[in-house]
Amino acid sequence: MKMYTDSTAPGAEMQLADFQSADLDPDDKHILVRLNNTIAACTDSLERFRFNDMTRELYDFVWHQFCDWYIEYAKTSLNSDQPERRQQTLRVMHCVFSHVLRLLHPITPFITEELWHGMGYGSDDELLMLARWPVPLDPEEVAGWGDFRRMADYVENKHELIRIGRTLRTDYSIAPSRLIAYVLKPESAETARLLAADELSIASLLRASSITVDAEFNPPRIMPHGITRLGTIFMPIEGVLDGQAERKRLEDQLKKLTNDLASVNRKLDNIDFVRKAPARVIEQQKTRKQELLERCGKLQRLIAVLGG
Amino acid sequence: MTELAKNYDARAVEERWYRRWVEQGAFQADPAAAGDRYAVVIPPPNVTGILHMGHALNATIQDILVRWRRMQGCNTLWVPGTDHAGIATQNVVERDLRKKHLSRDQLGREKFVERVWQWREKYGNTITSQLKRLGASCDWSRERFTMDEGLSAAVAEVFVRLYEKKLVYRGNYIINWCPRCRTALSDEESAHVNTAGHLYYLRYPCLGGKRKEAVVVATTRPETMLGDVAVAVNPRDKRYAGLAGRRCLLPLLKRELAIIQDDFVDPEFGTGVVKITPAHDPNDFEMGRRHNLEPINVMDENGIMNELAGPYQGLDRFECRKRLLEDLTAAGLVEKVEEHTHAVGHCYRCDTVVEPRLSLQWFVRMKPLARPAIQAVKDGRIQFVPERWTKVYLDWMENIRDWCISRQIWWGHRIPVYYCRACRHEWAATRTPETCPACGVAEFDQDEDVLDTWFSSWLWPFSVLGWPARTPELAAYYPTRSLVTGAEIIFFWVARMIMAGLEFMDDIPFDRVYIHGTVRDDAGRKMSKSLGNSIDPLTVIDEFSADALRFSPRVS
Repeated sequence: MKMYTDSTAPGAEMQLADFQSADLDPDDKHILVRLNNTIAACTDSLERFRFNDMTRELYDFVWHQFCDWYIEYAKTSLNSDQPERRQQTLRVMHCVFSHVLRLLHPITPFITEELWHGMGYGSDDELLMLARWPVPLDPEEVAGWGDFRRMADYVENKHELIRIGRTLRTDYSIAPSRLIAYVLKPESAETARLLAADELSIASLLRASSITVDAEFNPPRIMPHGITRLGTIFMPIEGVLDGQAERKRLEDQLKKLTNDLASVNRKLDNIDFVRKAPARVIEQQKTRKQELLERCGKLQRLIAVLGG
Repeated sequence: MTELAKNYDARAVEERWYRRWVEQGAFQADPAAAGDRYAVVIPPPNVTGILHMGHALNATIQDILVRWRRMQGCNTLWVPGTDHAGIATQNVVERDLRKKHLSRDQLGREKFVERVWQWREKYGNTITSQLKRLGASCDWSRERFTMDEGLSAAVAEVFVRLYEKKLVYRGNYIINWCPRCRTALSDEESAHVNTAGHLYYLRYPCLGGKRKEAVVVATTRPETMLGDVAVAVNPRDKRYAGLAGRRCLLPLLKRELAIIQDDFVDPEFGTGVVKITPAHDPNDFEMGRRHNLEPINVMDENGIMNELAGPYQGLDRFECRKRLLEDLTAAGLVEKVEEHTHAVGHCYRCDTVVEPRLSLQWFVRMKPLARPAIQAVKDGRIQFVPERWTKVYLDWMENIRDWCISRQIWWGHRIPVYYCRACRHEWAATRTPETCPACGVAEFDQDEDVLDTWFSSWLWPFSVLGWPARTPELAAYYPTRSLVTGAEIIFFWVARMIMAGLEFMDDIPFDRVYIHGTVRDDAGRKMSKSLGNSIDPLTVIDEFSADALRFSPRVS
C-alpha cells in the first residue's frame, strides 16, 4: 500500500502551533483543535491512571473525527487540481496522523512503530518509541491560532447540519446516488457567509447537486426540512421524488404500525395478561408501545409534509 | 520510507520491532543521563509462572506508563525479574521427581537444591520471554532474580540488621502448618474457605460430683481433644457458675482436666463450654499462656498422630477423627452432631487443610516497622489509586501481627543464623563464618529453615538497584515512582515493601500504588481454570497480535 503522498510526508514534522489561520479551511482548523483537545485529555488520563478513558478518547478521535469527517472532507481537496490546496490538506493529515501514532504508541507499540516508518515519519534509526510525546498548546499559542476555536465550533454545527440533511434523505428513501439541490436558510449573516464559503465541502458530504444559501428563502409550499444550529435545511423533492407514490408507501407503513400498536394496547389493557405475565414481559410490551407511538408520530409528520 | 505490506503480518512485524528496540538499546537506562527519573519495578512473576491474563494486564499497564514517560523525555527505567517462589517452585520440582520415583528426602538437601537450579535454568525464563512477546519495554540488561547473588546478599544483610535490632526473634508459637508441604505458612498464605463440616458435642465426665454428671463441649476437630489440657467457661456465664475450680476427665485418654474461667470464651458458641488445646488452636494457645497450661502436641509434621495420642498413634488426623468418634459413640459420649459451615484455612499452594501447629519459628516484630509505613500513607507521601485501597491498607497495618518468616523447605534463602556445637552460642552473619565468634571453635550448624519468599521480594525496589552497595542506579532511581499491582498482594507485598523501604532506605519505595482490577469474562466472572472461562493471552497474540491484546483488556 502506498500512502497518498507526493514524495516525502509534508507536515509530519509540523507542530500544532506552526499552522497559520490564513492557510486553512474550517475543517482543517476543526481537526487540529480536536487533536489538541485529545492530546490534553490523553495526557490527563495517563496522569490519573485512567487507561480506559484514554483508549476511548483516542478511539473516538481517530474513528469519529478523523475518519468519519476529516478524511471525507479531504477527498475533495486531494482530488482538486489546486496543488497548493492539496499540499495544505496533506500537511494537516500527516500532522494529525503522526500525532495519533505517538499518542497510540504506549498502548499499541508495534503497529504504530511500523506505520511510523512506513509513512516516512522517521528515518530508519529514529524510533517512534523515542519520539517526543505531544504537548497541548499553551494559552499563548492558542491565542496565536486566532479564529481556530470559532471555526471548530462552526464545523461541529456543520456536522450536525449534514447529519440532519442525510436523515431527511433516508426518511423519504431517496437513493444515495440521487443528487439533491438542498437549500439552507442561515440563522445569521455571519453563518450565511461561512456556509457560502464552504459550499463545496457541504455539497460533497450531502451528495447535493447544489447548495443554495438563501436568508430570505420562503418555500412555495411545505417541503421536508430540518432545524439545525446553523439554520434550517430544506430538501426540495420535485423531480427527485414521486410524491404520490412516496405518500402511499408511508401510509402503508403507518397502517401496519397502527395495527401493531392496537395489538400491543389490547395486551396491556387485558387485566389477566398484566396480572399473570412476568414483569420483564410487561416491560418489553411497554417499551414496544413507546417505540410504535414515536414511529407513528414521525410517519404522520412525514406524510403531512408531502401534502395532499 | 518502506512500502507497507498489503496484509499485516503481526507476528513478523512484532518480532522485528522488538528485536530492533532491544538492539538499539532503546529500553536501556543510563543513570547518568539527564531528565526526571522515572523508575518502575515489575511485580516479579513466579519463576514457575506462565503468562495469564492477569500478568498481561499488569505488564501492559506498566508498559504504557513507562513508554509514555520515556516519550516525555524522562530518564526511564523498568526493572524486570522473577521471584524464586519458594514453596511453589519446590512443589513443581518435587512433582517432577515423583514421576521419576524420587523424593526430596532420597536426594538430600544439596542435590535437591541443585535440581531446582537446573529446573530454573531450563524453564525459568518462560514467563520473561512471554513478556517480551507482549512488548514489555523492560531493561533486560538489569533483569534480576530473587535468589541471584546480589539479592541474596541484600536478604542476608536485612536479616542480620533486624536480628541485631532484635526485630527478628525465634519463638514457640502457634502457626499455620501445611502437613503436605511440611512447612509453616504465614497468615496470608492460609486461604480461608467456607467449608461444610460438623460441630460435635462431646461429653466430658465431671469428677467428684454426682454419677453421670458431665460437661458438654463443642468442637469441629474432635481429634485435637487428645491434646486438651483444660476446659473453659466464661466467668459471667451463670449456667456454669458451679463448675469453677472443679475437674473433669478427658474421655478415652482418661486425663484429668481443670475447668477454668476465661473472658475469651464465647457463651454463644456451642454449649458455652470449650476445650482448651493450646498446641492446636491459636485462641487456645493464648488462653493456655494466660493460665500457664503446658501445651500437648499430638501430631507430627505430616499431620499424623504421635505417641501422645495414645492408641491413635500413627493415624492420619482425619482417620483419627473417624476412629475417635466411633469410640466416643460406643462409650455414649457423643451428645449430638450438627451440620456446621465454617471458614477453614487451606494451603494457598497445594490446597491441603492447614493445621494450626505449635512449633519453633522465626518472626519479624512488625509493630515498630508498621508505624512509619502508616504515617507515609496518612500524610500522602504514598497514594493508593483508586483511593479506596487506602483504608484496606491502614486497617490491616493498624492491626498487624508478627510475621512468621521461617519455612521448613529447602528452596530459598537459608536463615543466616549459626549455632556453635561447643559453646551453644547463637549468632547471625551475612557470610558463612569460619569459626564461632564466642569460642573460636570451627564446629557449628546453620539453621535448617529457609526464609519466606516474601522476605526477598519485600526488598525488591532497592535490592534490584544494587543495595546494600551504593550504586549509581540506587542513587538515580530510588524511590521508584508507580507500583502497579493487584489487590490480592497489598498485604503480602505492597505493605511490606513500604515498611522495608522506610526501615532500610529511610525513604518510601514508590509514591503511587496503582491497584488494577481483575480480568473478567463477558458475564463479569473472574477468569479461572476451574470455571474454564480463562483466555490464554498467548493464543490471542498468536491469533491476532500483541497490540490487539494490549488494546482490549476487559477490566472490572
